[in-house]
Amino acid sequence: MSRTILIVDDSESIREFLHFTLATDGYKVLVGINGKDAMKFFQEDAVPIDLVITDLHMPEMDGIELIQEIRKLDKFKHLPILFLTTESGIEQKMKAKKAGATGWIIKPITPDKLLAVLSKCLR
Amino acid sequence: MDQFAQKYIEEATEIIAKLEELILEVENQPDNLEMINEVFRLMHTLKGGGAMFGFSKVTDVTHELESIYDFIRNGKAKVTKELLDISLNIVDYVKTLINPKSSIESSEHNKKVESLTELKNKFKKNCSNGKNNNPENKNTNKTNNKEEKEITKTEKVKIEQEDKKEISGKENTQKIDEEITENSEENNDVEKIEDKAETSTKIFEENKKNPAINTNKSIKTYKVFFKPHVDILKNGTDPLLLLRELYELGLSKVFTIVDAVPTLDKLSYDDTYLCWLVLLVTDDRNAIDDVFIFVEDEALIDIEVLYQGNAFDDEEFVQNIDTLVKKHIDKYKKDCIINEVTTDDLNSLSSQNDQKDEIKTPQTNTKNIETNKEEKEPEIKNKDEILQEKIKELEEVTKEAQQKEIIKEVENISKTQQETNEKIEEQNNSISEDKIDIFEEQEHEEVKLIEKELSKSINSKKLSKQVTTISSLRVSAEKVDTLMNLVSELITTQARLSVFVENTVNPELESIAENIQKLSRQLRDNAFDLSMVPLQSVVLRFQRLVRDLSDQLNKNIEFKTQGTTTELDKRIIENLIDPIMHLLRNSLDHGIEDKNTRQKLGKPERANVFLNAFYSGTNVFIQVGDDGKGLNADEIKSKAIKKGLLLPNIDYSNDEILNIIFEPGFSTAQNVSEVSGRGVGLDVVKRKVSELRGEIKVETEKNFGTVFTIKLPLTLSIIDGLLVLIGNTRYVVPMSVVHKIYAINHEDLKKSHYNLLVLDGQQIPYYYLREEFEEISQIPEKEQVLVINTEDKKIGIIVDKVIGEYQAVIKTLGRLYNSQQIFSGATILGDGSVALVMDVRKIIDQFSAVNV
Repeated sequence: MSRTILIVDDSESIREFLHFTLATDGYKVLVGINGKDAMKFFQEDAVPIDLVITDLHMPEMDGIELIQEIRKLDKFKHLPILFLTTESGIEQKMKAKKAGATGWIIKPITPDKLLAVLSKCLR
Repeated sequence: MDQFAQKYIEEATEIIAKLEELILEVENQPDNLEMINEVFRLMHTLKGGGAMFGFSKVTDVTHELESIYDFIRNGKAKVTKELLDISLNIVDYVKTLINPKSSIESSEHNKKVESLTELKNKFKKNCSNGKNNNPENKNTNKTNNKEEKEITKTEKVKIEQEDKKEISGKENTQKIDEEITENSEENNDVEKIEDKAETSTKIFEENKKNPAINTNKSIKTYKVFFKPHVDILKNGTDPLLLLRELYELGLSKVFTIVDAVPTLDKLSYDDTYLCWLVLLVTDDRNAIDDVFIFVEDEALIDIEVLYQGNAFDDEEFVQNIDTLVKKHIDKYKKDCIINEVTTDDLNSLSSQNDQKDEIKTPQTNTKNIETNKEEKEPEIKNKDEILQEKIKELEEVTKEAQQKEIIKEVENISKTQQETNEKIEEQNNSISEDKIDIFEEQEHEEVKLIEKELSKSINSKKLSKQVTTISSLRVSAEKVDTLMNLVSELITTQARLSVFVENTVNPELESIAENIQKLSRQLRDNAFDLSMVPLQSVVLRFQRLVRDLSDQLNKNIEFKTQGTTTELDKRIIENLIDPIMHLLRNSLDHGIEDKNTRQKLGKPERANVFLNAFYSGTNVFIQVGDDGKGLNADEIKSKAIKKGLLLPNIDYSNDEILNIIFEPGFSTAQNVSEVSGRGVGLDVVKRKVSELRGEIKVETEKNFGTVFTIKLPLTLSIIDGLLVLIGNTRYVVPMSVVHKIYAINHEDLKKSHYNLLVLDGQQIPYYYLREEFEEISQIPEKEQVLVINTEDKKIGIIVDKVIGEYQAVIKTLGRLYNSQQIFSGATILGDGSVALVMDVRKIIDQFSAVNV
């Protein structure tokens, strides 16, 4: 059964990169353009999501808020959430971890590495 | 990857435009944190994408700039003009970086990065007083072993501090106090061990959290060896965080191995030299793996079961812990000094593990260990015989000390257990409360959002198939152009169909033709909307121009814009940029006086330059103006006479004189400055505007300023027209200018004087187009008057017959017809013949000029 991954990023190029990489590897991909937009996937009758990859800096609702919002829902207490980050900003990572993130992906990332991390998180 | 890089370039171009705009806005409102945040976010997006898609230079510069904005964002620094200048500079630089055609010398690039780093450090200095966890500070003045110890001590203190912080969030203060005393005792221990054994191993942490784990049957004591790659800090992973995560898994003891730390001269502050051995009691082996999930490729990790059960409850184990650890550490020492982690290392290590696991699984203690004090002591007695013997031996040596320690330990444990129990109870309560809240909320929501819910459920059913729901999408300008062309062709063909249907008697076909006409009209309107762009999209360039020029000219100028949401055909906007730029340059250079003059005249020091845009009917007006010195009509007149553009001795009206400035070869500037007067005069502006079927005029008042007004049609390519007949030729008159249509007898025209008609009690001058076009065919008895609305007056033009409405797809006339002013284009009619499109305003101008 193919797994469903939600990508949340305001940058179209990143979205497309992730989408392409994941879709070619057989994942089902959902896309949100910011936190607020992504929350629509967490409604009662939405399709089940196996993993979330989110950017941290986004307009309207940023990644940390999104993670907090998701964790507020009982159903998604254990949903793996990865966030995208660049090499700087340990503070950010701490913040995101405190908010309930499972782990991070450091940009830049190659498709191979990305898929390796995902398969680890989804096993 | 290339396709994504292309996408990134597109995206980056948009971000850059946004950034530029924001930075200019920040200049006006330096305290607007929201904007600073947005600037930071955009920089971050640029950086992230740059890193992803191979634009490392973009990442270099945006990273530095981002950090500076981070300072400001956090209120540690203020926006300065220098920063904004550099920001704009960098924005320009990034523009060239993402341009695949341009190439940047790496030396030049380095210079940029250096200057940015310098600026960043300046900001850092200004704001980082009091922050001393900077690794650079930490590593100064350390030359010998003793000081190396201090490194670990500092680290230790740091860890403690941070631990305390974390705990204080969760536990009560009592717990912290315990931790502190515990830690401080340990510190003493550490120093003792160091002094005595002269070993480079340091215990710096013991954790007695999560006693509940002790009751679990499958708990084991793991040995976790963690040697991060030397560059791990640079990749943004903080080993400390990982250790802390381990620490949270259960009872643990951490040993730091510092053998690889070099002497100071070789020490680099952002390299990682330390590695750790952690003894950890937990029941969840996967949890340990999970801690390292993101660093597996960046570190040497060796996890091994050392003891079944909680080894810290085993006195013998505790007693021998140092030797045991030392033994393990010796084994790893080889790895500790090797900085590069290779896969071979990993393989050999893991094979070692396997062997170990097989040999070393003696069931020393499978008993369920309770953490209660009452049960603890009998428990010790009930241990396996071998163990008991050993314990006895040990007891003999350090009986008293041991007992004290155990008692203390047990006390701690029972206390923390009590606390956790209380906490759990608390949490349970709060959870059930939460649940109630949630249910209530849901009810409310349901009532409120029933309608929404309905549409949502429809949407979410689609969700599984639908990948994105993006409200707007970007289409290349080329595609829109193609669409517009196709729509034009469609309309032309539709006109043919209409003509054909008129000549056939087939009611069904007629209704189809009518439908197609209706649809093509709607399609046209929609396609129009697509190609409309708000003026805002180019205003940024003007803002930038004004900013840069006012610096250059040393004038204090405020640029105001109004109505920039006004939309215009994309092609019109593209062609308008240059004329508007020119008008702005003129205003700034010639219009606005220098600071001293302004002061003398009692004008505010800050001059105004404005750009207004608004709709009026089917036209758009764009005004560019200033509050400068205005145009001097006398000066213009004398100069025009000198240049032979005006005749002396004739009384010209003010407007006539002013309009001379649009004539080729006229420039009022005494000195041709660098800013304006680049050989492109206002005549070029006028020509460009005319090409867009627009008009330009100027109003001015001495010392109050000048306003240029450009009037433009909404769109270029398709217009609603009125098809008229003169003689045997058909013409199109733009519907937008036609006010009313009257029928008139030719006899009445003959009777009129001075080309004046009285219509609805109003005197209206008219032009007899038959005459003007030198049409010699038979004059019809009845003719029709189109009353044309011009800005200030009504004028009639007389045609033979009005045929009807017509959507005209305007084709430009060839180069050969450039000199004529009467027709703005031609259109193909339904039967394939060509009709000329009249430019009514110009017709009026032209024929009135002849009449004068």
